[in-house]
Amino acid sequence: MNKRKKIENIYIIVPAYNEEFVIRSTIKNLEKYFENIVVVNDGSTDKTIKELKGSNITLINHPLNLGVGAAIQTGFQFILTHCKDAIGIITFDADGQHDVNDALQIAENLITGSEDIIFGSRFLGHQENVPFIKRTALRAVNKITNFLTSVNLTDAHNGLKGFRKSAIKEINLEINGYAYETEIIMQVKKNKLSYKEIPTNIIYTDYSKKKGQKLLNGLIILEDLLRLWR
Amino acid sequence: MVYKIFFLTIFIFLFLYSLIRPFPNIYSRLFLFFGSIAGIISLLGSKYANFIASYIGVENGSYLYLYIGLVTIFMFIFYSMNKHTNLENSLAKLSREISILKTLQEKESKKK
Repeated sequence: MNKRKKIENIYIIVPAYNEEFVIRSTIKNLEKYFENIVVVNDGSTDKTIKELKGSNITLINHPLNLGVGAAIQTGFQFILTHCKDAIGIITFDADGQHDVNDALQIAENLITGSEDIIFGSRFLGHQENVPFIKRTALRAVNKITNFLTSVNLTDAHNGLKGFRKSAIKEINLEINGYAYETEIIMQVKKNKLSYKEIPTNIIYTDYSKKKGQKLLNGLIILEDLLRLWR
Repeated sequence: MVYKIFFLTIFIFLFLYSLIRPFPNIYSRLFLFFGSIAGIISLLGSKYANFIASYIGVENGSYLYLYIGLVTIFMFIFYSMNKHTNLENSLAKLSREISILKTLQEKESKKK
């Protein structure tokens, strides 16, 4: 049993949509280290809510499926307005792709560092874990994102990120879908927020490959990007 | 001839309607106003449409109507998509408020 004291002032947001098979283990791993976990159930139609019963989390239920960007914004709004003790927020995918140790590293950076946002990057050391085709597509989307936002990141679309609470106040997400990540980067540029990237691991299981973003979703991200850019 | 009178009546009705109906914005009024005029002109005879077409520099009346039709379709798609996005954002905000309120209520009732 882990005797380490749980981190209380860094909140975790887990957006979840139809994650009945993995949500329990994802939350169990996070609960070992983090006291405050906010799961935003984005209108799941499976047993995700049932799987969360008994967990020490705050559950926010969207009445309908709005998209991951909308779920993250809900988490932000809830923590900003109702969790006075929070000093930072980490976004963590529900599908079990992220490593809790990376979340801990981001939390440490938020507590001891001065940057407003910590971006996790799959391409700073663990790129071999990303399948070749996905890696190529992600790099292409990344290049376009960097071009449109003028912010240089190695991985613009990684769900694992850390935000200082003061930075969240500057961010207002209007994109409900996957391109919310680019919207964040655009707002980083607009509001002159400081940031850094740290290497994070990614665990692609058969489940996460099946459940995660399809490659063609990149096209939807590009559409959203153009909408943001206009 | 009966059809011509029937459609002419409809376009004249739409023209008059565009003058008196309260619209949320000027563009909707202008859309119905000019649309009904174009409809009336098309029914009165091709010479009027051809005259307007040659005046603006389009080959003939049919092309003029084709171009106006295409521009109208694209404008309508653009307007609808914009409205759809705005509605989606409003829906997201509403859902967010409701879900946060519900969570807070549940937390309160657990405390009690």
